[in-house]
Amino acid sequence: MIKVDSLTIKEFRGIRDLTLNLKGANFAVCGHNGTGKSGIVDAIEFALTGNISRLVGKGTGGISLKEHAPHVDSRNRPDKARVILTVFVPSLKKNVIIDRNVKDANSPIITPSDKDVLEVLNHVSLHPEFVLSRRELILYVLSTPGDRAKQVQVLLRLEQVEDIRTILQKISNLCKKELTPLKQEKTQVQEQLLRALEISQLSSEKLLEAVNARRLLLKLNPIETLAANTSLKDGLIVASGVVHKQTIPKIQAVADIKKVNELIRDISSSNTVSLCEEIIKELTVFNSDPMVSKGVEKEQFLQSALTLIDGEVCPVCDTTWNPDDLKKLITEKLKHFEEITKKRGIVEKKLEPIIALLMQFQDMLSSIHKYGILAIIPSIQYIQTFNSSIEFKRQQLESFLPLLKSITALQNITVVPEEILCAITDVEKYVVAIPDPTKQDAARDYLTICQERLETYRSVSLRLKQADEKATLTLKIYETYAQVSTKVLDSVYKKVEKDFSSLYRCINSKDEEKFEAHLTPSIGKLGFDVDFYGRGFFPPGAYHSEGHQDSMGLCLYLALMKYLLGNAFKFAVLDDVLMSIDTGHRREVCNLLKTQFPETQFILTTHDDVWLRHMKTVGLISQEASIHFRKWNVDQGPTEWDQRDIWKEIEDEIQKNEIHAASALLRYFMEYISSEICHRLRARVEFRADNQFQLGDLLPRAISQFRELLCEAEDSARSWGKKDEAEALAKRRSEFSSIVGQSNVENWQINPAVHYNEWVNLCKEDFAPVVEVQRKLVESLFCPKCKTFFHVIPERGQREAIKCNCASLNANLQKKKPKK
Amino acid sequence: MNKEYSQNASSEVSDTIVEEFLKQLADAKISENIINQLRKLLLEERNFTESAIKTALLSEDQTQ
Repeated sequence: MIKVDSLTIKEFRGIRDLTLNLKGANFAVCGHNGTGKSGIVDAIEFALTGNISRLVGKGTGGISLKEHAPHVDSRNRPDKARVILTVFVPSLKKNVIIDRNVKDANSPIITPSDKDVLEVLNHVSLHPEFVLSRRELILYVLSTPGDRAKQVQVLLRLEQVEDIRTILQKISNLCKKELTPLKQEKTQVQEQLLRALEISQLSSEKLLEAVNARRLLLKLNPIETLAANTSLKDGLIVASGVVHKQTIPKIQAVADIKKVNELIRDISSSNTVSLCEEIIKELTVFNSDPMVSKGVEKEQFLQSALTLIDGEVCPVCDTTWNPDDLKKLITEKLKHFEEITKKRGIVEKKLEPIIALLMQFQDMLSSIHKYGILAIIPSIQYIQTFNSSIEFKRQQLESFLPLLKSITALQNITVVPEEILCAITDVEKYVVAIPDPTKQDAARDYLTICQERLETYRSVSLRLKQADEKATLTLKIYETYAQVSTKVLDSVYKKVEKDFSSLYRCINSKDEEKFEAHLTPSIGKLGFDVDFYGRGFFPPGAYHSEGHQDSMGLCLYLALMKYLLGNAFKFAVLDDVLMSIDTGHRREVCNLLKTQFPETQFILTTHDDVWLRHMKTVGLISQEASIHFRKWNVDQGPTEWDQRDIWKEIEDEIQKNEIHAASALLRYFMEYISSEICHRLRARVEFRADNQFQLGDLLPRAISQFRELLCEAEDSARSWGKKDEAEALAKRRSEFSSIVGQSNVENWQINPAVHYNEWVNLCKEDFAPVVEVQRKLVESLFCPKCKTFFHVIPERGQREAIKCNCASLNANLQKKKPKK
Repeated sequence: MNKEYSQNASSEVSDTIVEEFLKQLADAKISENIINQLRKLLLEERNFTESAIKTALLSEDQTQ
């Protein structure tokens, strides 16, 4: 992985031109909402991956990287929207510059473009999870087990594990589904065979007993055993020596006519009629509600689309897609139709016996038609036409859609037309009139028909056997994969669970020192339960506060990243996460990041000044490793609290006679700077729980503290015999007092006329000197050389010195102890 | 691959699962042809499409 040394952003998102020097260390970006923090996060992500997550995915329809990543004023110049990232690759000990613009987002200029460098950067680009926002953090904690598993698997790059499992399950289900119609068909052909054999139960013994009785009549050898290729009429033609003209086998025909009449009674029965009426009613309700009827159609359309995705092109419109994104999109859409799918399943289940009955009826009508043709009965043509219409209706019911056609198909399906009944009667009359065959002829017909039906039965049985083998095989393969993946993931999650619990205990050691968590993977799901003060294990959202949930999200993320990258976890962007965590725990979070991940560079954004201060106090970030945005506007982008800019801006406002604006700006800047100075000088400020400190609360305390510190330093210098240094400090204190006197800050409480609230009422000529003296006051608290605040070290405990970064001021605060 | 991130590399978890899966299929006496086709798809070609996996599982001549 990498560490970021510097970041330059030009005409990108809300930023016009900004450079940050991160120097490979932790860095914080602070600013209220809408000041441009997220632009920095977007820029880092863009530089490293060529993408901006926030501009893609759910709820971002119509937004594209190319059109919307450039600053709005450069939207037609995507080449101008650039991010230049200088990074250090610790494993290669190489500095690398990545220069990427929006126009050529997929072709960054990388210097040096060595193979090993490109390999590392490619690896980074595959890990956009280095950016963690609160939205993602919450998803780890408060999602359903199914969604959490997806989130975590995406983070661990395990999506393909779930993809393979889903595909294997789907194939297994499809194979299983193929068995049902084949089983129905087998039952049907078995019934036909039994009818032909004139036996009630299908077994080798019974079959051979019946067949051999006929063979005996024809003086054919009995069949000893029934093998897969045994012919029941073996020797029949050879024995007779002639080829018979095809005739109607009377006995079989009588049995078939009896069966078709039974089926007509079944179809016309009150049970079938009421079932059809019930289904018609339900389908009519479906059809009358456009939401449902369209929903059923859309659901079927999406289901078909899902099965047809097999490459990078949409099967419907040929648009190029990432197949995973397209599948995800369609699956999301299908979720809206879950209720409709359920209702459809119920109706389809009710249709099953009707469809089976129609299949049998069709089959028997075909036999009757065959007899009618042989008998040359004119009305037989109606049976063929009727059978075609039954076939059409059955196929329509199997298709289910369109609903109106299914309703039409069901209407009158239970009524067999008069001409069909007449045609069947005609065939029956003809068959009955056929002279009874001789025993030998009947036996010959028997063997011929039984052989035909046995062959059909064998063929269907073979197809069913093959389908059953496929279903068994695919189920076995699916179950094996599910079992293996669960076992492996279980061991992964056990490790993550251990690290997560340990990290969480670091933050909450005071009240949850025995905290434990359980990550429980099951097929496609990841359960997450946490200990609640020894009272049992519950989902994180059950009893823990929002702040605790936030810290759980962070700890789970860190544990997962630790597992994912191990020692290569060198870089992460935490985008305004942990906003719900209270002050006490924030310090612990900072400590956690600092101590547990010392090799990882964290870039943190926050809208909370106090959070920023905690990071500095704990030493997670150094004093200078932050940028503090004060405002954002579309022309300039984010503006930080920079003295040079501020005095110029105030001057400009005064020139325009905009005293209201100038005084507001001066006041807000002085508030910001006073807060910083109080922090650096360790001034005592009256505590406010709401953290809403005003200028009057801060600046007088900052001034008196600086003066006291100069006094203390002067006394210390004298105690050590450093006369020159003491005099220099005295001179500095005197000059400072003079500036303070001019500023009237110390008179604010006793003379309301000079209070900062009155600045807004001053005229241009009166306000300009106020600004000048405030500027001098601020400058007197800064080192003119290194431009850093004077500050006390250490930040806590006994004060040792007051200094600036370049040590132009470096005054000891500890007096020499008198000799005993 | 850089040694630094060869440890715990994410694809290794997926590949570990596939390797163990294929081993268990062999133990369960699943056809060698199917196992070889799955290995080629999932580990070499990294092809995770439904149609390819379906073909690998079901293309075997069932009459044999």
